[in-house]
Amino acid sequence: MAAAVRAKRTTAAALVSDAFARIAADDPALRAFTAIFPERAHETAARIDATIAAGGDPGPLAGVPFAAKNLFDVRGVITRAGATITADDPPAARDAELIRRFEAAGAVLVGVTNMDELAFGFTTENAHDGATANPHDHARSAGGSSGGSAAAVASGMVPLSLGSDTNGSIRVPSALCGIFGIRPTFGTLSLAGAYPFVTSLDTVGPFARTAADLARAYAVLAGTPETAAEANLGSLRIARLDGFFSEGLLPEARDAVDRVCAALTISARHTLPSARRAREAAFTITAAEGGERHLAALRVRAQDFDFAVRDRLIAGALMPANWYIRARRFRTVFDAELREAFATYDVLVAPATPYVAPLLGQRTIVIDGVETDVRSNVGVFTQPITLGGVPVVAVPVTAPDRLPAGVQLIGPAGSEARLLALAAELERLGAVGAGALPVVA
Amino acid sequence: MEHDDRTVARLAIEAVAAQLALPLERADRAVVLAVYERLAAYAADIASADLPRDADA
Repeated sequence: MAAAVRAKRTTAAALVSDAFARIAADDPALRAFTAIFPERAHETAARIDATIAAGGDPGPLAGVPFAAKNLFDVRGVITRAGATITADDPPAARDAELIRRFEAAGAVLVGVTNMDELAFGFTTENAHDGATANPHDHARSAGGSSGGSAAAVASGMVPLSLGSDTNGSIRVPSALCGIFGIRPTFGTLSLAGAYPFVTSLDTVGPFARTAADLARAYAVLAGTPETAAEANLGSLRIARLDGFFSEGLLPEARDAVDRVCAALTISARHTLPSARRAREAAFTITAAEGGERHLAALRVRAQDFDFAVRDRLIAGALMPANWYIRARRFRTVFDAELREAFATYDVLVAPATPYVAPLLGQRTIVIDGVETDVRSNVGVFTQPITLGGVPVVAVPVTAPDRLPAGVQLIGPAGSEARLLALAAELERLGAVGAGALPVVA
Repeated sequence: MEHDDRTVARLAIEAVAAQLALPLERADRAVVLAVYERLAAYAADIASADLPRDADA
């Protein structure tokens, strides 16, 4: 798309008009967007086209429309973060750093997208803005909390979007919507202008329909050269995560991991003995920091919160400090296990979710004969990895008559280029990919 | 007087909520209690792990 703009086979203005036409056609059914910015987008596109006409180069994302989760600051717009307690905040004075970086590379922001309130959820069923529908089945969840951004890309309304991932909020919707997403190494991408949730765990990153688009988007955001595939992917030492990550998942999620492992001819398996406790620690840190962050608003405006979020924040605000400190200290144990794993393996493979997209409004699901809470359990395999702060690329496994499932490619800190290259190789092998665009309208 | 775990959790929630001026009457107490009990169970499980003495908080 950017190449066509730079080669003058199309224009940024035309791409932006196409994006708004698709949004007009598809978004009433999907509810992915919470606001669109036609005036700003057309002005940006006109500048890009003028730059090209003058012989300049607007950048590697020239004219590519993109969306951002509505927790990213947009100049002149109130940053809602999916909440109404933010509705009276002043408009943002400047764009979030990641939006600035995308636009500096020639991309065009067209709107902001739906999310779980304050990023505290996995299904994007928002009490204020409605539920985002999964483009593959409108009765089902797009995942969360960056569900609007994932649905916008999965449906083809935009080729790129931005999300945040604290406990799995990029990886879960990537999996359920059947697209690619990356949670970078903690601290790698700038959080400036992104509404915070859990300072100890928050990350931000992009979604795309292809591994190549994801790699290009990540390179722009990270300010690194776009890396070609690693020279020797065949020599990568890869293991499938066993134990915690092989229990409590339904066949379609297991099949997705089987497919990736078969394509890579992986036979090695590795167990992270503390994975369950890592998830517990991430859950505890999230509740404590989230509860503390919103304590003032909970005191005076409790009725304005999404009830699904409010009661969890209150519980978190009430916990003894000892529980939180112990959870933070536990990171040392899990970090050591990850270091040991990455001394032997370059990449670990695990399911992204334990099941495909649940129905909107679905409360429970039966796994191994046990009735389990759908909303919190969908992040059971992303949440432990969160605690380690290591990078993960979520890759989609799709088939014509099945709902998408996702697989996590997990590497040591700073290994984004390797993971993105592996995702591209899996796509080339036909093991993963977004497949055909779902028919929405 | 001894209390069962649920009663202890309920009393703790009510006491700390009062201390922090959090309006439990505007929340679903059953949900708050369920999440608090889950956090307590997690804390107990994490506490049973061996942590290195120099674990950084």
